[in-house]
Amino acid sequence: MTDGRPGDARAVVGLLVNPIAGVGGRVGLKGSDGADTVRRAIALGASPGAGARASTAVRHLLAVWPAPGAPPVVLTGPLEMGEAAAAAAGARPMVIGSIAPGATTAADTVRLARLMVERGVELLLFAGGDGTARDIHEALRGAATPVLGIPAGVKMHSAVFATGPAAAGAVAAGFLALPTGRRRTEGREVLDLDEEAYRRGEIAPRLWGELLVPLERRRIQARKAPTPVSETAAAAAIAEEVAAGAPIGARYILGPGSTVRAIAERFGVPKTLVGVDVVRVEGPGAATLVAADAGEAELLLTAGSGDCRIVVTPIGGQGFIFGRGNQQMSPPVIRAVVRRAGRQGIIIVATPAKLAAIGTRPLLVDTGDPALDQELAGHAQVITGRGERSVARVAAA
Amino acid sequence: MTTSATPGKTPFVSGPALPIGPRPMPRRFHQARWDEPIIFELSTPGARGVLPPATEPGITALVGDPAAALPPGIRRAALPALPELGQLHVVRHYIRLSQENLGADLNIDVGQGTCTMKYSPKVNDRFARDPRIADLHPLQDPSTVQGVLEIAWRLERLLAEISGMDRVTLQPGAGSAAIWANVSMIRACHASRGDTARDEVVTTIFSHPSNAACAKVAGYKVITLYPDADGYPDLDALRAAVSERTAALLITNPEDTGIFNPRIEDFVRVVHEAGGLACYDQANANGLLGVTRAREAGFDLCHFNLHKTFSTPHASGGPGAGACGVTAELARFLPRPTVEFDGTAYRLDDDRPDSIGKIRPWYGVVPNLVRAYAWIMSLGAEGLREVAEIAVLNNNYLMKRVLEIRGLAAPFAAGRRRIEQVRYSWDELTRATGVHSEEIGYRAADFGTHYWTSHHPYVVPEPMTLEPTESYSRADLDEYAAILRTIAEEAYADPSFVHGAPYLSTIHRIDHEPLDDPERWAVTWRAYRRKHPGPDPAPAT
Repeated sequence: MTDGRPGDARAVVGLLVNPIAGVGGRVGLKGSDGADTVRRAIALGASPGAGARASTAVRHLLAVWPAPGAPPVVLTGPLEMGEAAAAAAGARPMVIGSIAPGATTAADTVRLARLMVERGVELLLFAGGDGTARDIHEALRGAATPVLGIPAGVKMHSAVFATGPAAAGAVAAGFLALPTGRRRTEGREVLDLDEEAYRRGEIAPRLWGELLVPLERRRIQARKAPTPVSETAAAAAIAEEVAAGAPIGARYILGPGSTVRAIAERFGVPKTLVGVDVVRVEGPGAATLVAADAGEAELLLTAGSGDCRIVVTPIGGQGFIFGRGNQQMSPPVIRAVVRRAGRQGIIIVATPAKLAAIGTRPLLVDTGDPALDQELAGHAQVITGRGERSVARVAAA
Repeated sequence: MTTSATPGKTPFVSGPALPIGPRPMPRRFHQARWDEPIIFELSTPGARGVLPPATEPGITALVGDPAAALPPGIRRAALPALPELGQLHVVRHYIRLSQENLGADLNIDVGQGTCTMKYSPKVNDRFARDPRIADLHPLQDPSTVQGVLEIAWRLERLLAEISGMDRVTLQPGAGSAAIWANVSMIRACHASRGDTARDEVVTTIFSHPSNAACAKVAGYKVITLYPDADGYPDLDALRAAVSERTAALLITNPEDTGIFNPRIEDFVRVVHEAGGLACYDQANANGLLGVTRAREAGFDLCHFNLHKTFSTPHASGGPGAGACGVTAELARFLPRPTVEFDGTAYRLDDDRPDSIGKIRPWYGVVPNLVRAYAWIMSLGAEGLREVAEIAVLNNNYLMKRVLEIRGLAAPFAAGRRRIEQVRYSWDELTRATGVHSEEIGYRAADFGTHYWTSHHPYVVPEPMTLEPTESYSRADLDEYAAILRTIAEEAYADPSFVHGAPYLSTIHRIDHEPLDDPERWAVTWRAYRRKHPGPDPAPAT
């Protein structure tokens, strides 16, 4: 077999470790954001594990690399921000930037990630949790560099993480071993809670945006299978179905996420990726924008006056349809829609690949209103394509 | 010399002592590699395999050019672009190709995913090739083909008994064609009642994807049910799916996980109460023969794959053979013609105004109907039930053996047995080693065994589906399990070794990309030359 890479150009992978990721979780602090928390955690006896997990990922990447004579170049942050983990895995990393050992902060993550993007890493592996993912998202500023999270945090609501450190290494190897033209990525959500509120018992996760993640071939595509349609095509088919069933004059509250954004595109209106927008159906497949990035008050106004639907897609890695990244659609908003249109007023959309990744786990709701969560629980139809639906379980988180 | 095994190693061959030592486990194997070109590349201008004698002068003198007597419509304007070879070269070419393959007659073929085939007894090929069958022409008058019509009619009656349905058609040329026939009959049935609002079909994610595909092609919207938390088809999901728009439930049971739906009667009842029809995909019937029937579960329609359950060859994608069974109420919609028997003679009945029409030309894939008939008749009712019992026993024995292998699990319905196949998952092994299920298949080829990851819809990560059927012996299953165990151990010890597999196979890796690209794929030589232009291949020397 060939390694599929032209000449002797070696793949370049970035490795960034948030050295304090996860320390809070082990001592029950629900996160590790903020220097005070880290000090408290370490005082409580926590020891950081992100480095070890990153090391496992790199070891697997090298172990499964198809051309052992030409392993990828590993670009890392200094010391505990990647260098140590890479070295422990047997790589000889190229180190960039500088840090204050033992006192790193989110700003270091952002700065080093930007350096790596500037140096042209073909994949940025980062070990951390939702907070780290958010830092990476901030650092990339829309750059198209693919990233993959090595799960090492307390909170991992984001959908940018591999299923484990070894899996992260395997996915990275599989991705980088392909010629650049054949590498496939998909946008996945970065979600992060407000940790201060979380520690007080409030869950207010916010959708910060999307990062490009290697499209993992963990579902084996053998020859008898039809060519899997791209996520873009799958979302377009869903948009076609939603548009075909949209009555003229109805208003659609469009939740965040790229699958829902495809519906706005089908209607010919712009869509904020992380916000909740409202459109009014004007004709077959045509709509006008009523409100962009609407807040709860605006949505209540819409939901309370006439034919109105909500369109949501599972957000994040755990399959939440309400309560993660779309809290604007508050219990009163949801109730107002259901009162007029029934449960059918809540249109759930998801690509087949996303549903398959959720598997037999239920879709989750966590509106903040336990009674409403119970009402929404049960079985619900999910639009998965043109003329295609699935029935999924919905459960209160 | 002794035949006793070294500890932990069991020889494949037991019995009287032979002057050879115990065989290594798994066996040592190396596939033939002929680097055989495509037959068109072997063409030598002027070479001939058959030389037909010239027309005798006396005949020419009488009738002129015999070809001129043929109707213009069946005369070629130009010579066919066939390769030119001598007979021996043709024979050698195909024998070499067969040696570069892992055919069902060559290996322990239990790893085909849900497409596994059982052994096809060779004697049945003799019947199919008998000139009294092979030389028949489908345009012959029924009075001259009473024998083959009798075989079809009797096979229909046998399958009606096996399924409990009232009428059977043998016309479809494959399982999917049979599902298509059933969906067409469902549509015709609702239309005959003036019920045109029913535009939805319900299926399950682990039913064969042909069910969803055929429904979609027939114009139905498809609602797919996911399993409940225990891995069983979700009855509450079905209740949430059915309505006055439900045309039918298309469901496989046992599903491709090997799990039997314990609430199958409830599924049928819920759909019937909604006014829909219930259609049973019995492609996985091998563990059910003589045990359960579609009729008793309340189904209106069902289908079998003769090329799966009834031993006929699959023929690499066709023609296989499918059979649909329906209740008396639906019989008028069956494809035409039907075979009818009035007690003295058999005839083909084409005068069926409510029929959905033809599913394929003529009346079914006759050689496969002959094989299936022979297979059923050789077993009898008790034999069919024994087939099912051995298939289930083999499957559960193999499941016990392979679940002892590190890194392998059987998701869903934990601790419960399976019917005739199991969808396993190597997820744990993949996470630990980076070795994918597909690569285990590549490595399995090094041991002379086939392993194919046909596991739509990829809900189970890193899937492997084993379906041992009744054909394989305990020693065969032990050998297959030993091969999988060896590969798993290799993956844990040195993943890069498994990544590099296969080492002993004819072809090491195939780039799948062109197979998905209409601009590059080619299933004929003509298409290949058109899509991949270049100098003509050098003639063989």
